[in-house]
Amino acid sequence: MGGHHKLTASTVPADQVELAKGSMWRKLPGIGLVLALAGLGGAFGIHSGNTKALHDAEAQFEAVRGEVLTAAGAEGAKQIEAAEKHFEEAQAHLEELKKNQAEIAGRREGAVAAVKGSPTPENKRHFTEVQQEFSDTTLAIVKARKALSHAVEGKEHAEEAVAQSVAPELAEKYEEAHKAELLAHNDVQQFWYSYLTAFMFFLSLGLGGLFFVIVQHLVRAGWSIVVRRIAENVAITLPAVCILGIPFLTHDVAHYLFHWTHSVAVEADQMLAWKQAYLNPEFFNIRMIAFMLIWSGLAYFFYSNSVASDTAPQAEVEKRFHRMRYMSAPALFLFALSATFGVFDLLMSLDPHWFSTMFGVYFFAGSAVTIHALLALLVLAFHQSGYLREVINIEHYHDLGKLMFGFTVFWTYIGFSQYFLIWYANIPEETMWFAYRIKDDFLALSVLLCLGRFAVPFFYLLRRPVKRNPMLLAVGAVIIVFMQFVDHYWLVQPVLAHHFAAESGSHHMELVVGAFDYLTLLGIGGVFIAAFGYATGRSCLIPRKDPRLTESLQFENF
Amino acid sequence: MSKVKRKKVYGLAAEYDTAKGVYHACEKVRDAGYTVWDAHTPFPVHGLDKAMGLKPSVLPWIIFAMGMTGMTIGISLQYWTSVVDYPTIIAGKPLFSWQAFVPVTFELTILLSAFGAVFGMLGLNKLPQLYHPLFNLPAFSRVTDDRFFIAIEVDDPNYDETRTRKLLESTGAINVYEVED
Amino acid sequence: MAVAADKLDPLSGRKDLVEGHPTFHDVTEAVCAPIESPSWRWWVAFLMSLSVLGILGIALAYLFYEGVGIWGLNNPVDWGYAIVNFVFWVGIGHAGTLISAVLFLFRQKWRTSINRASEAMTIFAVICALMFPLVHTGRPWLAAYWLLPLPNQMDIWPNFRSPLLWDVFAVSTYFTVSLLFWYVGLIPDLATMRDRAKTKTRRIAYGIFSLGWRGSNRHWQHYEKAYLILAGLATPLVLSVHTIVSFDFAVSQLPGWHTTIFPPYFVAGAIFSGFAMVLTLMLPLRSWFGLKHIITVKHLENMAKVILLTGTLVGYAYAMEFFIAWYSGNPYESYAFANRLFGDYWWAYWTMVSCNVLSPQVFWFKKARRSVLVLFIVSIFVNIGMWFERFVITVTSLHHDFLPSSWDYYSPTIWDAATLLGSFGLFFTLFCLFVRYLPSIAIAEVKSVMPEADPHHGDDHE
Repeated sequence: MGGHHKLTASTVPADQVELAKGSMWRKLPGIGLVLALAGLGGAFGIHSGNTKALHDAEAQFEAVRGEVLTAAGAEGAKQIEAAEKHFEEAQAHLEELKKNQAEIAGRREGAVAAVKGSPTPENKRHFTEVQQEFSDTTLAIVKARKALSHAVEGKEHAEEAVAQSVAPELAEKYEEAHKAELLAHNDVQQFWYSYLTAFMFFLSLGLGGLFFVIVQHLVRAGWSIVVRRIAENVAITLPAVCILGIPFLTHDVAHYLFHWTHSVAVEADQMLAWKQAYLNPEFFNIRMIAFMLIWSGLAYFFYSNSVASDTAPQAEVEKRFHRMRYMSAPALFLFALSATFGVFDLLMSLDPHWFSTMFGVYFFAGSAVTIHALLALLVLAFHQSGYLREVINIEHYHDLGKLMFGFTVFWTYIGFSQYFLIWYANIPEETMWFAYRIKDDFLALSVLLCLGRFAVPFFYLLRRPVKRNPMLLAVGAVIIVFMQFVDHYWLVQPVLAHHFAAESGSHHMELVVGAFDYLTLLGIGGVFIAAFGYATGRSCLIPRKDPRLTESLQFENF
Repeated sequence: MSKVKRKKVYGLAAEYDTAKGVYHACEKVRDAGYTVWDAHTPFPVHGLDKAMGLKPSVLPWIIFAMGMTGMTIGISLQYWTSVVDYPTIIAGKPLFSWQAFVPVTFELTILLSAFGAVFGMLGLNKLPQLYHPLFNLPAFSRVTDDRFFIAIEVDDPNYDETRTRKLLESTGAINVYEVED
Repeated sequence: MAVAADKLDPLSGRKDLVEGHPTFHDVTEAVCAPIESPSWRWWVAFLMSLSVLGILGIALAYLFYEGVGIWGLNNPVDWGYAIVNFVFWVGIGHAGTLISAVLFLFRQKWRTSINRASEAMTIFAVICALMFPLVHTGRPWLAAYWLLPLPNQMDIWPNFRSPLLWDVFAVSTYFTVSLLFWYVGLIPDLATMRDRAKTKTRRIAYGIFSLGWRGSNRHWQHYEKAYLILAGLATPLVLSVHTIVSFDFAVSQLPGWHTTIFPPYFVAGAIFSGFAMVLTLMLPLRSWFGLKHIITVKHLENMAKVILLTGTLVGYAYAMEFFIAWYSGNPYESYAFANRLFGDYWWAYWTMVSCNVLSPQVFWFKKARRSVLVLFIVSIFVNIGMWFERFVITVTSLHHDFLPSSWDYYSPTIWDAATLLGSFGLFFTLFCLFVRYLPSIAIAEVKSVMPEADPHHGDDHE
C-alpha cells in the first residue's frame, strides 16, 4: 500500500473541498427548481385537466342517473328509494347499537367494580348478565356493519337494476357513464399514487442520509468522515421534501389515497372500524406533522452542528462534536420509531386490512442500501468534476461497496422473511397483500424486484475488485438506486391497480408506467436536487474540523 | 573420525526484532530478484504480501466454487426427495416449494464454502507439515513470540552463500544464520 | 469527560487497545503463563462446574431410563423447557460469532482481546443447545438417523418443509463453521504454545494441533484470506441460524408466534443475551488471570453499549408486536398479548420486561458501563430475562390457544429444572477446560493491533 503520500487534516488542498465560484454544483439549486417546476407543473397541469374531466364525467353520470330515474317511473323510483332508505336504516341501526354498547359498557364497569369490591354471588351473577349483554351487543354490531355494507352495495345495484328493467340501451348508457366516471376517478387517483411513490422515494433518500449520519456518530466510525458531509446534505433535503408531503394532510388527497378515510366504508367494515382510533384523518395529520418535524429537526441538528463546526474555534468544535455523539443514541431511537410509524401511515395503511410487524424494518432496509449507493454515485460525480480527489479515495469506495453489499443481503433477508412467513402460514388476511402483487402484469415486477434487489447486486458486488473500481461500483449503485424506486412503486401502485381491477370488473391487474410517474419523479426530484445543491453550495465539502478527519483520510482496507 | 560429513544446507535465515525491519528487508530481497524465499512472522504484518511481491491468493475462487456446489446439492437434494422420489403434499404447498427450500440450501452453501475456506487454505499451505528445516534453528522458536525471520533457500537461482548473506546483513538483521536441512 | 488513564492515540484520537505499552513478548507471557500454572481459583470454578455437570448427568440418565414423561409437558403445552433451553443456548452462542466475525468485518480492533474466548463460548453454548433436541427425542441414539436426510424404513424422507429439519441443518452448520473458524484462529497460537512447551506431552499435543505452523508469510496470505472470507460467511450464517430458529415459531399460525418481525427480533435477542454471557465470563476471567490490561475497561464499555443497543432493538420488537396485535384487529392476537401481561404467566412476562428492557437502561450512564459490579449484575439479569422471553413466547401462546376447552397450565417438573441447571454445568466445565489448556486470548491477533505491528509505525505522516 505504501502510504507515503497520505493526506492529513491540515494538508487537504482547499480547492478540492471548496466549491469554485462557477462550479456546476452551485447551479444545482437553479437546475433543481427548473426541474421541479417542469415536473410538478406538468403533472399538476395534467392532473387539473383530469380533475375537470372527472367533474364532467360525474356530471354526465348524474345526468344519466336522472334519465334513469325519470324513465323508471314510479315503480323504479320506489325501488331506488327503498334501497336508499334501507341504507339509511342500516346506518341508523348501527348508530343505535353503538350507543347501546356505550351504555352497557358503563354498566359493565360498574359491575366489575362491584365484584372486585364484594365478590358476592349476587354481584357475580349481575356481572355475568351484563357481560352477556355486552358480548351480544358486540356481535350485533358486527352483524350490523355487515348489513350496512350489504345496504351500500344494494344502493349501488338498485339503480343499475332499475336501468336494466326500464330499457337495455338506457342500462348500457348507465354502465358506460358509470365506467367513464370510474376511469376518470382512477386518473385522478393515479396522479396522487404516482406522487406518493415519488415522494416516498425521495423521502427514503433523505431518511437514509439521516440514518447514515446518526449511525456514524453513534459508533464513532473513522472511515466515513470524508463522506459524512455529503450524507448530511442529503439528509437536509428532508425539510424541503416534507413540505411536499403536506397535500397528504388535506381532505381531498387523503380521500383519493387512503381507503380508511371513507367514513361510510369504514362504518361498514368491522376491521376498519376497529382501527379507527389510529386510522382517522385527524390523528393521521397530527402524526404526520410530528414525524415531519422530528425528521426535519434531527436532520437540522446534525447538519447545523457539523457545518457550524467548520468555522468555529477549537473549543466549540469539540463541544459540538461531543453534542452530536451524545445525541446520536436518542436520535436513533426517535428515528426508528418515527420512521416505522411514518411508513405504517403512508405505505402500510394504503391497504388498511393488512399488517406486518416487519414493515418498518423493510422500509429501513431499502433506505439503508440506497443511501450507500447514492453516496457512491455522488462521490463519483464530485471526482469527475474535479473535487475531493485523494480526499475520498479507493478505500472509501471499497467501504461504500461493502456496505452496499451488506445491506443488499440485509434487504433480501428482511424482504424474504416477511414474504416467507406469510406464504408459509397461508392466512388469507395476510397473503392477499402479496397475492395481488404477483398477479397478471405485476408478476413481472415482483420478479424484477427479486432479481434487481438481490440476485444482480449480490453477485455483482461480491468481488473485491468491483468494489475497488469506481466505475464498476457506480454501475451497481445505479441499479440499487433505480431498484429503490421500483420497490416503492411495487409497494404503492398495486393498491390502486387492485382497486381499479375490482371496481371496473376487469379483475386484471394492470401495470401502467405513465406520464405522472415520470413527471412527479422529475418534480419532486427537482426539489430534492435544489435542496441538496443549496446545502452543498453553502459549506465545505467535508467536515473540516472533525477530530477523526485524519484517520478517515488515511485508513486502509484489508 | 576422519570423515567430515558435509551437512546439507537449507538456506540462510535472518532474524529481526521489529515488523518495520522485516518489512523493509522483504522489499530489498524482493527487489534483489529472489523468488524461493519466505518471511516468517508471529502475526500477519500489514502490507508484507506486497513487500514480498506475492500474487493474490486463488482461495476466493475455490471458496466460491465450493459454495455453488453446496447450493446445487441443497436444491437437488430437496428437489429429488420432495418432487421425484417420494412426493408428499404437506400443508397444501406445491411439491417444489422453493420458498421452503431456501433455508437448507442456504446452510449447505455456507457449509461447503466454509470447508472450501478451511481445507482450501490448508491445502494451499500444504499443512499439516510437522517437520520443516527451520525448526532445526533454536532461535526460530521465537517466531511465534516476538521475532521476525526471512529465510532464503539454496534452491533459489540467485542464491550465493556470501552475496546472500551480505544482502541479509545489510537489511538490518540482528542475526543471520545458516540453516541445516 | 475523560476518565483517568485514558491515553489517546495521537493519530486517531482513540484509546490504546492494550494498556501499559507491553512488548510482543509481554503479551505472549501474559496470555500463556496462566495456562502453564493455573491458580486455585481455576480449581474452585472447575470443581463447582463439574458438580453441576453431575446434576445434568443424573437428569439425563433418569431421562433415558424413564422416558420424556418425567418432564412437565402436557396438552396443549407440548413445547416446554427443552425448546426454551435450546433457543436460549443457541442465542448465547451468537455473540461469539458476532464478536469474531462481524466486528472483524467492521474493523473493530478491540475485538481481538475477547474473540477467542467468545468463539469458545459459542462452541460450548451450541453443544449445550444441541443436547436438547437430541435428548428430547426420547431415544436419542436413533435421533441422528431421524434428523438427517436419510429415508426411513418406509422410504419416506424427512420433511424439508419443516423448520425443525431446517434447524438440524442450520445448527449443525453453525457448530461446524464455528468450530472451524475457532480452530483456524487457534493454529498460530497453538504454535506459540508448542514453542513454549516445557513438557514433551504438551509439545507433541500442541505440535500436532498447530499442524506445523511456522508463521510463513506465504501461509499468512492464504490464512488471512480464509479468515476474512470465513468472517464474511459466518455473518450471514449467524443471522440465518437464529432466523431459522425463529421460524420454528413464526411459520405457525399461533397468535403470538406468527409475526413477521420474529427473524431479526430473535437475532437481536440472541446477540443481546450472548454479549451478556460474554460479560459474565470475561469479568472473572480478566481479574483471576491478570488480563485486565488486555481486556480493558474500554472493552467492557463497548460490550455494554452493544447490550444497550440490542436490548433497545428487542424493545422495539416488543413495541411492534404490541401495536400490530391491536392494529391487526385480530381478536386472538390481541388476547394473546393481554394474556401475556395479565394472565397466568404475568410474573414471567414482567420478569422478562424488567430484565430485558429496564435493566440495560442503566448503561446510558458512563459510570455504570465502566463498573465491573454493575456490568456483572446486569449481565445476569439479561440472561435471566432472555430465558424468560423464550419461556413467555413458547408457553403463553400454547397454554391458551384458539380453543378454550384445550387450555391448561404448564408446570415444569424437578427434572426440567435439573436439566436446565445441569446444562450450565456442562457449559462452565467446558469453558474451564478451555481456559486451562488453550490460550484464552488471540495472541497473534492482539499483537497485530498493537502500534508496533504496523510496519509504518513512527514514519513521518506528512
